[in-house]
Amino acid sequence: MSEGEEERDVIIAKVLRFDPTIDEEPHFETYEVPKYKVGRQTLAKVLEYIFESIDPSLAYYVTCNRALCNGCVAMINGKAGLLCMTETTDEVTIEPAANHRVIKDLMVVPEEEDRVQQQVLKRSGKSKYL
Amino acid sequence: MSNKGGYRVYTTDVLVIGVEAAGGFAAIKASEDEEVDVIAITKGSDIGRAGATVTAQSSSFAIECQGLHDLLGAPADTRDSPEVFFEDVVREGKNVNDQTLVESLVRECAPRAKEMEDWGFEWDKTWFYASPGHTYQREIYPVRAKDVGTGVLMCRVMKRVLESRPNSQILGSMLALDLLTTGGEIAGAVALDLVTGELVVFHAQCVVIATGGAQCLYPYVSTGKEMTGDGHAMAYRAGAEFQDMEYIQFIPGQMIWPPGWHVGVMPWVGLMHCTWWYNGLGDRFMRRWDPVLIEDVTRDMWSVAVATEVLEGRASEHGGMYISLAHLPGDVVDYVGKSSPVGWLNYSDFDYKPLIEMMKEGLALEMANYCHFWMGGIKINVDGETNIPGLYAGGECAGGLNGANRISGVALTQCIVQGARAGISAAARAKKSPRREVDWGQVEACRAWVYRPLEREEGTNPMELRDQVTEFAMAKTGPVRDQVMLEEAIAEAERLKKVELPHLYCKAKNPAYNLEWVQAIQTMNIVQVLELVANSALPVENSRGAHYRRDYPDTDNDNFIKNVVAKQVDGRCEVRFEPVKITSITPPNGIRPYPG
Repeated sequence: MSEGEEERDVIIAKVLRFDPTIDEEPHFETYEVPKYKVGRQTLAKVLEYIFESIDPSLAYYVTCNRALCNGCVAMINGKAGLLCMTETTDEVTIEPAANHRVIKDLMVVPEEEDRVQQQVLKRSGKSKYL
Repeated sequence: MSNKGGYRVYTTDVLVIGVEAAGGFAAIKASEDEEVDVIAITKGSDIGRAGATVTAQSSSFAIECQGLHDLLGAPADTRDSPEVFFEDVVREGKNVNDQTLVESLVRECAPRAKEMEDWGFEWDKTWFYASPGHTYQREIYPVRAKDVGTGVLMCRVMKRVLESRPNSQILGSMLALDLLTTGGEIAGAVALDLVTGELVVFHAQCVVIATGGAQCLYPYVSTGKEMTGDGHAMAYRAGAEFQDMEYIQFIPGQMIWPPGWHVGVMPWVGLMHCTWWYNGLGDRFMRRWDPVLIEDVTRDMWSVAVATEVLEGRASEHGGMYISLAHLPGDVVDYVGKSSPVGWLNYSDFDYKPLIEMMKEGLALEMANYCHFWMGGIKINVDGETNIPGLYAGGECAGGLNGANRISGVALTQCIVQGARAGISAAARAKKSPRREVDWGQVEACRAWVYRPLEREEGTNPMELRDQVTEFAMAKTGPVRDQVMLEEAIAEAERLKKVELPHLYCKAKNPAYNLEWVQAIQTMNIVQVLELVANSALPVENSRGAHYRRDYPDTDNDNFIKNVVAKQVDGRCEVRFEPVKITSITPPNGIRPYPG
């Protein structure tokens, strides 16, 4: 994709999309996102742009935006990382966190939740009402 | 869990909405009684994955030192006492605090901190801090606060406790929508299960709202982007009373240029204190506000100064103020950065070096006000009770404790004290009051407004409307207000409700994990909060703490030592004044120049 010395002004973002209520298989969608001339363009910003300006059906999870909640863990160019802290590359591939159950697109069941749900199920018998 | 009328129904004694510092504490205290079932819901994917608590990073708890000494065995300065802490909170709250709430805060903070220790929360007893406003060094941090974050550590501990209780459960990805009332009393709440996109009914005797502030009424925030006043809005729609919604804390620390550094709080130490601030005319404007301290003024005055420059048309290119280090030689910048205990070169995981390099080359960055904390909120008494039987609130979504201004460290302390109170009271009531039947008409009415954006085929884009609302709110109800601006804000909230909100529409139609739909719902909620803020601020014709009126720039202690109470009546926001609840400190008299 080299265009000599010329600066590219878009980022090519490949995002793995999967809506289990509609899709049989996950598939990649490719988006063109304007590239910042200056500043810190994280993948959270790239996804926010895709969500707000291209496709609002995209599901992803970013809240604290500063590496505290770890809710935005995903596979970034094949490696696990936080969307809120990782600066984008000119071409980037984003997939849901490995070994997590996918709720939709990049949104996954948090690591420990399966354990929590198990406990909920286990203890529901003890509850007065459930 | 059962099914009724096509809805998944959870029956519980106490429902807690929001499960971070305040809600987590409420759920833990309510579930201490084994006969009381507790469900705690959060719109985050799990406890500790959303909310303002998580972003309380290197944050402290303010705990009076005698309690720290006696209960936690910490070598704190015992010249401090509950009484001195009380005086600090009321003085810095500019004398409009509900003193019964302050009393509860200063007496119960240490026992609650001890309780946290018993759950496994590790206090760092080696050093104590005193931010401005604290007479003694009573701010205490957990061990590893700097690495992991105070709020995250707290959430982890609370999660463990809640999971160990057979009578409590946490449900993540649940966006609470509306409260249910029957005969004027709480019957439960309706929530949206984000994962499935279905409405879920919680049939509960008592509901505790612990949803934090409504920071996202404004464009820039120090919290996550999910603080959209959902708890405020649902309580308002149900007829709950609010206290002092005009007091909202702003801090001019949001970097708006270069882009991508929208991470909220910038460290206010080290190099930050060396910066000179310029407006869009290149004028070092802080000299006009304080010729001696210049940029060293307190942050309330700083936020007012920045907002005034913006309002009067002297903003920087991207709508803020320029900050510069051009007056310092590069080697001085390096030295100050290196020698500062919390330098500006690194903060948390952020590497600010590229910014510092830009500044050393003589370029300016741009900063704007961000919304940090809500002093006002749902009106509660000392037991966390609201005017609706069965409805409780605690933490930042509850008003009155902090008066017109909050001092550092009190936010988390407020959460543990008020969260505990609300949880205990709710559990006690749940045991003795009969369960109210659910009014299914209310559930259907909730479904109607919630589903409207999905059903419409065309209309207003939720993200665009959100951006318009937040920009408008900043301009008219930000750190600086006047009568005209507030009247415009009231009219605009009315217009938004009548004209724009009914036309919100989602392009994405699948209800399952539909973030555009979430944005639409949240936008409806922030408009309701805007209505509350504007109506509460209009009659307060003086400047006090976080409420600055440029048409009434003095602090008027003769006429405005009182609280504004707001409530929805027949679709309109009605406000009235109430006398401040005083237990031991008589407020001063006289009219003084701001900040009073």
